[in-house]
Amino acid sequence: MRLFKLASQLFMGAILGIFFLLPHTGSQAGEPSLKEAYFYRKLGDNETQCLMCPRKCLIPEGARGVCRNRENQSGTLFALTYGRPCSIAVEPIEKAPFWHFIPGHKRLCVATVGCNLRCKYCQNWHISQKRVEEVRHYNLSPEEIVEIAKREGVKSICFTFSEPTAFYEYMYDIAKLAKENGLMTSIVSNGFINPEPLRKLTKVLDAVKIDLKGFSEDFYEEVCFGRLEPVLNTLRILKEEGTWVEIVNLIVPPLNDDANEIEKMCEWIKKNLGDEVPLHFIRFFPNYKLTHLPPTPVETLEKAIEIAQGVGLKYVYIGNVPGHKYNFTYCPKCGRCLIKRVVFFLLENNIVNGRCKFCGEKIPGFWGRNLKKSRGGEHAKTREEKNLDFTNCAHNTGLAILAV
Amino acid sequence: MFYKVLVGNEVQCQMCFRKCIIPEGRRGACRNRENRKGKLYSVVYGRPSAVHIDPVEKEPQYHFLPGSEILCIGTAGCNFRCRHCHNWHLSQRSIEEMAYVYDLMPEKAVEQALKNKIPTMSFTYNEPTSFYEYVYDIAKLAKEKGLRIIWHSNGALNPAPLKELLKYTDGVTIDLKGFSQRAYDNSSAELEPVLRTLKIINKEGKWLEIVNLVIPTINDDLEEIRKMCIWIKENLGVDVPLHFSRFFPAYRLTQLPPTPISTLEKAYEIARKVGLNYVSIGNVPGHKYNSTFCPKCGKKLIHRTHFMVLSNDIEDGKCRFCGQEIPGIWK
Repeated sequence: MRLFKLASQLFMGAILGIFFLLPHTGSQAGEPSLKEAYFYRKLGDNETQCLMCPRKCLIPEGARGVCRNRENQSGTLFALTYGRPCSIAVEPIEKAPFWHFIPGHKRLCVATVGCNLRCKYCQNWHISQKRVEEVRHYNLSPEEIVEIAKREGVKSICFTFSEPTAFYEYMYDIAKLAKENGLMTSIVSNGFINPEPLRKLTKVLDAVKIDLKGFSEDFYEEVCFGRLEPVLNTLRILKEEGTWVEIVNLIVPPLNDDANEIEKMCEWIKKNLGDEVPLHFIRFFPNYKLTHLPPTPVETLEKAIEIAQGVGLKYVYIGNVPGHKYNFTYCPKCGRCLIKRVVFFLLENNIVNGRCKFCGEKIPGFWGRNLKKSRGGEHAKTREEKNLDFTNCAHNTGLAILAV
Repeated sequence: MFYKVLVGNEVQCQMCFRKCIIPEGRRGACRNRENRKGKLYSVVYGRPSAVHIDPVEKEPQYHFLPGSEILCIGTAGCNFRCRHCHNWHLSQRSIEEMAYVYDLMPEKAVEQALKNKIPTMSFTYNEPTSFYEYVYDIAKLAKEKGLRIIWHSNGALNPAPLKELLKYTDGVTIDLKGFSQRAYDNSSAELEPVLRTLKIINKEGKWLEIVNLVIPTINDDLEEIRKMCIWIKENLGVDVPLHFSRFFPAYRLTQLPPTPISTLEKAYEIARKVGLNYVSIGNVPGHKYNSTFCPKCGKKLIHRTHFMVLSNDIEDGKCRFCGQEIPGIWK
């Protein structure tokens, strides 16, 4: 399912470079001023070293880091996409996928351009692999984002679509403000970030979804142009910090579908993060530079589920296969179906006060308050009800909000 | 050599640990490898900025044809950013900023060595990894002509280019700039790839010497030095020469004092106690430990003052006094 991106209502003027971005006609805010980057150092001779992700790019004057978002201007590193999101959408939390994080609630998704990896199969390459000048964007301060979130009645703000590490400053400021305003926060990330910025970020985050793209350095090297070890380190740190984590593993045959590798990954997860971390095996569809590969056979995903269950992971899922029975959450104790989902839509929720309704087994995750029994496809009647009860969001899915 | 093409004419250099992703028109962190329309070019190939004849002791290589001359070649550029760099006017500049750029293609360079009867060619001053293609071509050619090849590196290159170059290499000097990530932060670099390099050179059986420049407050913690010596012993053996070199204020660390000689002597004691056989102190002309001693009988084998060899009592690779075999390349 294609991600919803919003087109700007307003005509974007000619772009003449960073300094000369014309403000949207009639825009209330105009172009925000440049934000100095967090986590970098000045090396002298106007050279900077970014310390945000493991690449630790050395960035000479006038150049940008690999993420394309951090530019050295006269020896100072600036976060170019701060206040310039290219995508804003209200979506169900299930799409993240977060399946243990207040099921059925609406989140406000925020993204700018840019990414520090170069995955050959990227689904969002038209924003992740672009520069800020190449994609239309809004001008929205963190305050305005939080305002929109409140106005839309979402329960959380989620940084996703591209790589949040690439727009860390914007994400962090929004997340901090969101927390102060009683909203929850989450990110969907490749986990390719350095420990220091990560630890700082966890203070303002409730949930993190990490793409564990494979379990070999070779795969990371050849397909993503990154490295595995820093991602594992990120997972360890998140565990240490007690942040809620769900893991996604996109299986791309024949590149990372080796059963041994999947087993090793599952064992690593169990040993380092515990057996209660949800693991989503996601179906690959041909995209970007890997259009010559077929979609992942569903049997491959089912085999992966068997492996993960064999290792002893309690919550394993299949994603990108609408209607599959492993879209559901089952109680690891009594085996009954706890949450019924079809793709991103919540149909039924049998978790009460964080426990299995049938046998009382404690289910890890965020379950929110007053979660009522599912009401099928029925609308929430009032705004107030919508705010409090997120058991049904099917009708809000992907509804672009707007109004800059 | 050694790069991958990504999407949209972007390339990823595979030469060193940084693996720079370089967009069109840009250069890597070393300032020497430039992406032109999706192809990565070395802009310093055949264009050295320093060509000198030095004693091999200056490299330093203490177990490599003592007292012989080496033809040294350096260019602009480096993949590190050491704040203490004493060759920063070469290493921390791009070729356009060089005072001198010679036109010296590999054939000419080898010819120069032969003409001057210099037995060894060396790549030093700046980081050979940053002008790898030039090094590689010269090394290959020089070997064919019977010359020897050594190079002095920070050791942060990747295994594939390293192994390829080692085929045409006789000796390597590696700067081990400390034994903690903190010490390597001073160079905006990483320790781990350097350790990997040391192991590979050792495994490939090439002659290896290690230099540790001891910088006050940056890497002079004696416990760290002990750990480094133990690592060397366990991973490379006790016969790898280790040089503790004195730091003098340079480049961006002019606020620090020169290393106290007592610190270097303490480091020496630690290394010897750990069990390393060949430890020396460098950048302190006339110091006792400029010289090489026999680990068995304790007699002075090679008497050096700074870079000068005054006497050499190694015969056929053995101590003249007790017959102890001394590893190295002696003839």
